[in-house]
Amino acid sequence: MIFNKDYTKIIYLYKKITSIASSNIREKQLLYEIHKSKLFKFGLFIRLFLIIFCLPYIQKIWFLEFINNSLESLSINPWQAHLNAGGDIKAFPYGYIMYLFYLPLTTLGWLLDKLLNLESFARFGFGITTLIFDYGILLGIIRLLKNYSSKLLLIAYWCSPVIIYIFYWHGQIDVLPVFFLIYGLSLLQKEKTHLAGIFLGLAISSKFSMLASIPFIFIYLVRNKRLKNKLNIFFASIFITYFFTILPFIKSNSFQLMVLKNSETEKLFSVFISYGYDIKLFLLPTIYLLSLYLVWRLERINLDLFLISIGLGFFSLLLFLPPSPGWFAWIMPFLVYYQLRSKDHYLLSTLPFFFIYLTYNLLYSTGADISFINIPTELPLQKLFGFNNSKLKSILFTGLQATGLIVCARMYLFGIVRNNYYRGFGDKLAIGISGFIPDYINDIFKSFENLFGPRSISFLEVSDYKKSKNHNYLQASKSLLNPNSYNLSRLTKDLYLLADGKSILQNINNSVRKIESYDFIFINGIHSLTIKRLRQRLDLKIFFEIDKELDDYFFTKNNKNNSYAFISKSEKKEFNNYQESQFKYSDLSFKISPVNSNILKTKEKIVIPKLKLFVKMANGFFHEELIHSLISLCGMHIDVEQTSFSDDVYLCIEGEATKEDINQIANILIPNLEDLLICNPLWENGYKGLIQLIILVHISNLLYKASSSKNYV
Amino acid sequence: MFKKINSLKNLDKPDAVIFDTDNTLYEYAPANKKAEEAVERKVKALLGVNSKLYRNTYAQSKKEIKKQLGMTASSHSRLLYYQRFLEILGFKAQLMTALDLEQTFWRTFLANAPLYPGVIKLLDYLRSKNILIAIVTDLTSHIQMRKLTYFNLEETFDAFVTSEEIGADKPDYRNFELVLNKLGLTKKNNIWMVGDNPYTDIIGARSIGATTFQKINNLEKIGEGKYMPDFAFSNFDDFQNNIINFIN
Repeated sequence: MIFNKDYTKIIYLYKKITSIASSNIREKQLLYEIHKSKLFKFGLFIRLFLIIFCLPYIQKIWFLEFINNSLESLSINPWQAHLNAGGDIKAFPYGYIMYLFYLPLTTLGWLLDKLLNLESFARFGFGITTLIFDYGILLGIIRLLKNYSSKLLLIAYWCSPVIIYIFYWHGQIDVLPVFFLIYGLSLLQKEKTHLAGIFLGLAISSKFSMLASIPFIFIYLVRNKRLKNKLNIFFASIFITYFFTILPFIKSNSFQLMVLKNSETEKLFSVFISYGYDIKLFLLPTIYLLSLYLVWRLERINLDLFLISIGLGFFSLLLFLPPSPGWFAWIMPFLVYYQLRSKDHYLLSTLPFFFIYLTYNLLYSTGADISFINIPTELPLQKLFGFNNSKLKSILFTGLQATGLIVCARMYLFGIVRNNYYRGFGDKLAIGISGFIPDYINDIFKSFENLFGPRSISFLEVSDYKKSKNHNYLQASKSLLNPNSYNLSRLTKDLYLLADGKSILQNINNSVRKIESYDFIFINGIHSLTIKRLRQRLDLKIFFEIDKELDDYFFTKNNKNNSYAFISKSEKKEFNNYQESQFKYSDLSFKISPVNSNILKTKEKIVIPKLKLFVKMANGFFHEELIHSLISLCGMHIDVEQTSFSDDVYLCIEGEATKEDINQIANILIPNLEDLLICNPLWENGYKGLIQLIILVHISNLLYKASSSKNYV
Repeated sequence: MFKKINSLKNLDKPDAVIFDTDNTLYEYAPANKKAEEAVERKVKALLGVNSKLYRNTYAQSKKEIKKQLGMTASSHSRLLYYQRFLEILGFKAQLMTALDLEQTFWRTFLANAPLYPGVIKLLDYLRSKNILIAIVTDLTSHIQMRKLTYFNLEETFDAFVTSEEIGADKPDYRNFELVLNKLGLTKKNNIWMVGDNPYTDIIGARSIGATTFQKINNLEKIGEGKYMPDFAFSNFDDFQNNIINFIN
């Protein structure tokens, strides 16, 4: 029974921990798979073994010594206590947050050591703290990745010799700021900007170099329509967190000496090209600014490129700094993210880099003392074996930087390709919507601004191109149903101008209106597919039809009696011919019909009858997935008609779908949807939402097809 | 984990394997929890009903429906629960709201109900060995069909039986007899039954002489006494690894 109770507690604790990594059940299942994996157990075993049997040299002489001094003196200013005890000035160049998070378990161990007269438990406590945040980074990466191979993730991060070397053999503690950074970024992605800001503030507070990520985050937020309006909250959270965590010691001389003026800061200006006459070009700021510029010039940045760009920013620091093994921990999560997203590049581009990194650092950096071997393994191997070959050192260093540069280049190119997942057109995407469309339906197209965001669509209305303001005096035609009543060549010209990125001026009712060129151009109205040159520039041609039985519900009598009424039978026939030809040219067509036409015949006043939607679309595209989702998630009724000789498929969709249903199906049908839409897109209910969904799948497919046909690498 | 519980039972290649659905092919509780939370939020937004009142009233409506309908498929109907819930709160016959809440429930439920790892692999394997596979499940046919469609299993099974067809939930033997009938088999054939519930699945399957396998999830206990299965397993990979020799 006791065992059962404990077991229940363990399961409860496990569920709590996994809920930190993910609130999504599917993700939790993947996490469960990771925990069950032999690779995870192997990585954990290695870590525990190293924590128990090895004491990294820098932890022994610096970090543990520092905490020990602060505990011995019971001072709230650990830096002062350390210096008072005659400790090394380089021992703890980190903020108070780093100290606070490492303190509890180390203190517990320190007390046990005092009690048992040992010198083991404090270092176990210190090591376990590292392990906890190391595991936290793994959870953070999982939160950032939506689909991932658990095996590859464990190989790339959990079992990575580089990670194990940095945190458990060399003994660096950058694990904490990296954890805060990664977790902050995952929160930012989930739009929890307050929390993300707090985590980023903690990251910078624990290690100031994390500040290097902030300009990249700023660019991402400015370029991201979803998160742009949360910029202020995010940066305010960072500032307040940093301010309050750094404030208590800012005036302390010991803190200033050990943290703010530490020798590591000097490294930033240690690599330069001399121009003579005492003029130096510092390489690090130059390269860092260049990498910032490369990201800044991109109009839109998706999550992949954003994360990769932060990794590149850190990489640029590392490549132009004297080697500092622990700092490579900053780039590892981003490198892992890149490796997992771009499986093809994994082995070729990163393994040589990892191999040279380990060789170089094992030879020239300090290691750890192994408790059961009487050899000074904490010394760099070069010293241990007593050889000193400066040429070999330089060759290895050159190899390290060269392979690092190659990894950077691959990461950047991959990021650009991924960033262009939906940006393949390079220019604008033009969509023509034709048919005799009532205003009620017309709103659907306007509602795309609720999905793509404001200032994303340029709308052109065919009706704004009437040749005469007063249809009674038309010269070319007597009715507005005739294409000759419109200046379609002007419309075409305007479309081409907008597509070229130029704004246009429209003169409507003696007032001039400026239309800016945005990512999408929607041309809407009867005859928008009539002329060939116009059609040629349209990327997606949509035809819209309303069942004649519904005319009374969608068109007011005024309209019918006025401009849109047929004057003669021949004119009606002519108009129908135009409509038929436009239907023929369309890639996608919709028809709205009443579910039960008998009800309409009773002439009782029904505001909006129950409707069904007919859709004509390309066969073999996505209709099967659409049907699948509509039936299983919304319980809708769908008839499919497709002949073996036809390129098109006809769907008849009946039933009620809510905007939440549409949102869920969109997430299933459209890959990387968040790259395409704004934060919290507003979908429509019912058949309007279905029309939005079907058009959006077509748009995403067009954008993807264009991007995949371009060779960026 | 794969355990033999009944030492007298030996495994032979089956003619058919019958599966329960809920909590056997996927984990029911987390999906149900997420779905109920989504409905709770919607009720609060639409009707201004607070969480405590919602939970108490919902529990009452569920109890009343179950008492009224007994062990039938409709007794699990969320639509009836929400209809009664609205009635208890004095909203009378708000049919559209009841339908909306039901749709919210199932949409959220399905989005949070991934199949257990190894299910697809096992079903493919059984089909490749020409072993018939079937579903016997409680609840109404419409929602169970929607679930299987969502899992992309709509064309996987040779037979599909819900308690709605019989008019009584498992362990009513008629559910199991009907599935045998649909498969064209009799009690003399070697049938395996895989399910999570010792009361409904294990007892029920015994009425057709099936070899029973209990799927153990998290901290669930293996059935004891008359509810004791012949075998128990915790994941489908272990299940498949242990039955492969007998099937080959």
